[in-house]
Amino acid sequence: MTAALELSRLSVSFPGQPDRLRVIEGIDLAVGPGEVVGLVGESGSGKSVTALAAMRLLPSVARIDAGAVHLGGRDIVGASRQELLRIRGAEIAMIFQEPMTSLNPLFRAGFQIGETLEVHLGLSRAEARRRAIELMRAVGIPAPEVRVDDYPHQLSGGMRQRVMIAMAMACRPKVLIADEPTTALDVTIQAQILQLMRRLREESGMGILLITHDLGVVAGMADRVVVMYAGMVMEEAPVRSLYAMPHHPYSRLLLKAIPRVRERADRLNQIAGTTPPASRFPSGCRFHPRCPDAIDRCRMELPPLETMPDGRKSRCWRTGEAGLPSMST
Amino acid sequence: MSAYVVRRLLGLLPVLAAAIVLTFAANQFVPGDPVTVMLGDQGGNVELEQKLRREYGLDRPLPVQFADYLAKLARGDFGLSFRYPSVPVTQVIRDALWISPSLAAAALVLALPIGISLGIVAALRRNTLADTGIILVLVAGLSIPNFALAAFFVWIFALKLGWAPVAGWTSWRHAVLPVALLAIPAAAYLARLARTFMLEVLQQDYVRTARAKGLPERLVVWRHSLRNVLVPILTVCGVIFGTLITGTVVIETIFNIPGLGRIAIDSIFARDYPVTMAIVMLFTFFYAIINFIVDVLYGIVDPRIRISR
Repeated sequence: MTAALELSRLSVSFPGQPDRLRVIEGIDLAVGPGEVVGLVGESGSGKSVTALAAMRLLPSVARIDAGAVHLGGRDIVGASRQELLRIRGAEIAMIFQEPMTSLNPLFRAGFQIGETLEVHLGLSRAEARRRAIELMRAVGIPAPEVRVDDYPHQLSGGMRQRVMIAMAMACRPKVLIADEPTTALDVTIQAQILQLMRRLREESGMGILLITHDLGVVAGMADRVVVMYAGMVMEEAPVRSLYAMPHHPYSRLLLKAIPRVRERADRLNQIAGTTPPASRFPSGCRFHPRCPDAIDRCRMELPPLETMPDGRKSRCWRTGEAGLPSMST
Repeated sequence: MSAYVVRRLLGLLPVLAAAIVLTFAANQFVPGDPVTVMLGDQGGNVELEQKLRREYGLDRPLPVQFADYLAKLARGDFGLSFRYPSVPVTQVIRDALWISPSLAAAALVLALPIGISLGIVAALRRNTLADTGIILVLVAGLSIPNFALAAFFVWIFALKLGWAPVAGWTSWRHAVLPVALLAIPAAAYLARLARTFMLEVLQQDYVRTARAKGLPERLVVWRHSLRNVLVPILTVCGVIFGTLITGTVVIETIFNIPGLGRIAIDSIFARDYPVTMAIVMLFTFFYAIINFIVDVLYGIVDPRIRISR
């Protein structure tokens, strides 16, 4: 079966001194129809750049240096502006972290939803409005006939994110990219939004690329997880097996950093050091300066993203070894 | 809404009061006095001077003069002109009343579309030759003094090309150069603001959302961005109108237009206090009216600041 969205060996660079900075390097990632793939990593790991590249929405200074973005089997890296306008919002849609600022404050919620339909399906303003009301009802907005004429500032954060989702769903896209969709929301609202996304996924069969740094959200939503660090994929695995037994030391440390109620510790587990900026990505394995398991080889040679016998992937020279320091609790 | 209008008009009273006090005081501090000016070459005639002073009430203490002025003003009486004996102030300024605000309004109406589109084009072509070229023109438009530009315009467009009359006020063609000259610095200022605001708006999340929806660039710019640029632009329109109204003082003098601006200058030189006072009050009033209109428009453009219903 062809993936709904597939990034292969995708590399993106931004202007820098003296050379351009490779912000993401050789990203491989696929989202099947009806599948939720969690893209996990710390801030600055390149998650959002990956998402924007998939939408072909990168700022003009950014450049896709290599690789392909397949959408429904077609590479859109070489697509023209016109083609991209037809694709964006229709075949692939995106929702963002900040529902507060992602809606235009000067236009009514219903109009902003309907606009997508006017542009892509050629609906009249009145038809678009009627469809917008239906969509608002479908994403669980109460009294949509009234809310359709509300301005964003009249809606709560959760309602605004629902409007964003309705807008994204308007043309029944094959892929939805959700960039930290719940980070800015209260925990109870978070759960509702995730529940809504799960339901819509089941009803429409679209694939979802869920970008987050919240491993709890991933555990509850995703089928598969891709772990990114410093612009590269470090590990990829089905969500259960990753949580049960992470292969990559970075994944292990990430999971260990989640505080647990049962093992109350005096100190929270943290990963020593910080994510390096793209101008100072280290040689060899990009995680080696912070890795408790690093050996000499890690400093010299970049490990490949290797596929294990069980189909999981890990980018580490020591994958499969037992008794590594990162495994101790 | 009507309560809002009443509230705004009441709010205008203290502003007018301040304008009255300040202008009255300024008139007293300026050297020279109206009677000396009126007497002209009969300057030595002490008897006539005292008679005139008594006639106009200028021999009384200042607070009394002020109280008397206020009392008459409350009845809608602006007093008599000093320069044109026994002519009421209202009659002196009546014919000139709408010339200055019309010139200023025309200049604003002309400057808005030109300034905003220049600014937006510059923002969209940021860091290109077009952007730099526009910025250069804007700096020139802002920094060349109006009277110098006026002399240049008269030479080129009136004397050399004959497209517009040199000066005077008998047909609409007489307004062409004055309005253009008023509009140039206003447009340049607006363009600079529009460029800055547009660059800011283009960074906003909702613009990214509009692009993610697959909206063509035309809608991203002229629908989703422009309206957000208009909100702060509107705010400064009141201030710009204020500078335009005061700008008419110079322009009307240069082009010999019998508007409030020129009458203001004439009355100041003639120490014709009642006329000066009336004109300052009128300018204050126009300025307040424009700001009121701006506030109403503000609510129309931006739903977040709708006037309390």
